[in-house]
Amino acid sequence: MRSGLALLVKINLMTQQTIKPTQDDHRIAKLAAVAIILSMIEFFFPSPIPGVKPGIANIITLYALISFGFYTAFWVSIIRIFISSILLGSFLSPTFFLSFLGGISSLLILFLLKNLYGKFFGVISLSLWASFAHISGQFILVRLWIVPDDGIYTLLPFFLLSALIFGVINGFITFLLLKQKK
Amino acid sequence: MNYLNNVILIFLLFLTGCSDNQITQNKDYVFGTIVDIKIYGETKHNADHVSNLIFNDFHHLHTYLHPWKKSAISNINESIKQNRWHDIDDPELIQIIQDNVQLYKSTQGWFNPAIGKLVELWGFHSDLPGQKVPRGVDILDLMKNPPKMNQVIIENNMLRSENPKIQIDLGGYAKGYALKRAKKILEANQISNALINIGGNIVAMGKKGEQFWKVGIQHPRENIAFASIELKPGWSIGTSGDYQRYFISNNKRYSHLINPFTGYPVHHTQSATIIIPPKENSEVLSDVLSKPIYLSPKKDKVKLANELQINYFLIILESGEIMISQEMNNHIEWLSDKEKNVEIY
Amino acid sequence: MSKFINSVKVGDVLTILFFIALVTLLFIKLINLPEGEFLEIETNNESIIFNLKHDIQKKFSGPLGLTEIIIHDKRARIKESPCNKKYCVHHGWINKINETVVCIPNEIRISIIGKNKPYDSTNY
Repeated sequence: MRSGLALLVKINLMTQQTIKPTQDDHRIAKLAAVAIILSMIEFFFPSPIPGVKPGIANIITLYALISFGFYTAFWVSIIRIFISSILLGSFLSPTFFLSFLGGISSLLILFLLKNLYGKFFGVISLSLWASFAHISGQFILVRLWIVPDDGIYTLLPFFLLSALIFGVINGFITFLLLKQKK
Repeated sequence: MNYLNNVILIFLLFLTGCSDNQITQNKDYVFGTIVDIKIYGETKHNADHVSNLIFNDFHHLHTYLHPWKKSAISNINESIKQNRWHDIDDPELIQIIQDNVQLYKSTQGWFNPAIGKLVELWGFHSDLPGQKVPRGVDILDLMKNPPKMNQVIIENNMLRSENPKIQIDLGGYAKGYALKRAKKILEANQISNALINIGGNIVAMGKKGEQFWKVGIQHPRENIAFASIELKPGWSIGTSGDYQRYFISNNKRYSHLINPFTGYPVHHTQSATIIIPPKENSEVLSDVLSKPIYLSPKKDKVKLANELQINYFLIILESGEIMISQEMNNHIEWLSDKEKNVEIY
Repeated sequence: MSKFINSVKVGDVLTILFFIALVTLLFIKLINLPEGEFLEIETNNESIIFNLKHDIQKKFSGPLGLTEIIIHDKRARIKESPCNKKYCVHHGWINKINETVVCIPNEIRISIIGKNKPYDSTNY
């Protein structure tokens, strides 16, 4: 009886420990919240060409990566993608999958390149690589699944151009944020 | 910061270098036909300049070798007619005449530039062909003592001929010769990638960047290119056909290509196309050797091609039937989708 | 702003240049593959391409005078020419890729081309 009680207490304490939010979790939650808000704002902005968006939520991802590391950036991104699609009612729709694939692609690139930040790459580079990976990932999905026609390639230059432009802009904004933080 | 500057500079150089992938085209009207020169990988200024050099050379050549207007050749013909010795002081002209004599021999007489009088008789010595079939007696008269190119003899810069009925007409030789000259001029100006088209006779120099030059082959009766073929560097292509200079009389077609043994144009063949890979005089051969293949009867064509070492030939007979060599067939790309009556040799 | 310029690293420049080059290249490729069919008109001194979608009537000059070419209903023909025989005029409409009409005396040639010109020159 005594050992049983002791076990229960132990489990209780352990559970309390595991669900107690860490400092990381706080940060992730805050950043994710901001990212979600940015996603919402972007949703209500009309875009001249379907599929071309500034992707301002990525600023948060980048900021998180540089300030707190990949783990934080990863969760901020994933949470943002899921929650905003649920809130916008597009969960599990093609839009969601596009967003998800884009997010995964850019996270993958960031994971591979994160160690080069500092001496070799600045914010702009990471931002550009992330946005190109994002657009490319989405493009591949579109080509395979949504518009299985080679004509879609004629749109590629335009999408990559927007990735270039917004990659630079987002990178610059991230830079300002980082500067402010200091 | 210096390092950065260098990186940017290299990038800019890279971008400007990209403009060298352009093809500059220049055209002119000479030899009674359109001459088209495409040059790859040169600045427009350079390409234009060298093209003009070539056109100027051609205008000179055209006047110099003209078959019926006053020219160095017509002067020679006048001497032959009068049974006179003719003094040739131009070594190039001597070389050309000797080349033609040699080609007469090697084609067993099928290429015979001595029959200028026959060509004139059939009305083709004019910028606009005549329309009448000449009288049989006139042709017989000429064929009594048939003009043969090997009756033209050159000794010590003096030319004479045993046959006063000879009239040298280099119409079947001049385009090939001009191609050879154009190629030399381009090479002398360090241009190694170009496509020269003189009235349909084409020589390919180098490539078009990563790709080979490609030519379409005109169909003798329909106004389309029925096939295309890539020309490897140095390949020359020439066609003899009855669809450029001809007239129709009593529903029969008479072309400017006269059978030197009969004195009459032939009716069994619409066109003969040959390709000669690069070798000494290959550009000239691509022009000259298409005549024997065109003029000889069907049963003799393949044998003649083999004797002349022509591995690439494509012949369209009067019936529309196509005779093609194995090598030509390996490389050709058919463009029209009609049913074809093709025989591979 | 100057702080930003100072923060730019080698990798940044390379990355930007790389992506600019990539985008430029793709645009160039895009421009070079026009879909659809065109009419190419070649004279002595020029070579022009017209889209068959737009009806046009134009005159081109050659040694004998003016040759009139007409594009109508995605087809083309030589309407008038100062040559003797008028073979070119009698040829009528063309609209299939590779179809060609030539007026040799007036040195003008029209042909239908597709996406890319299938060959660089014609042997005849």
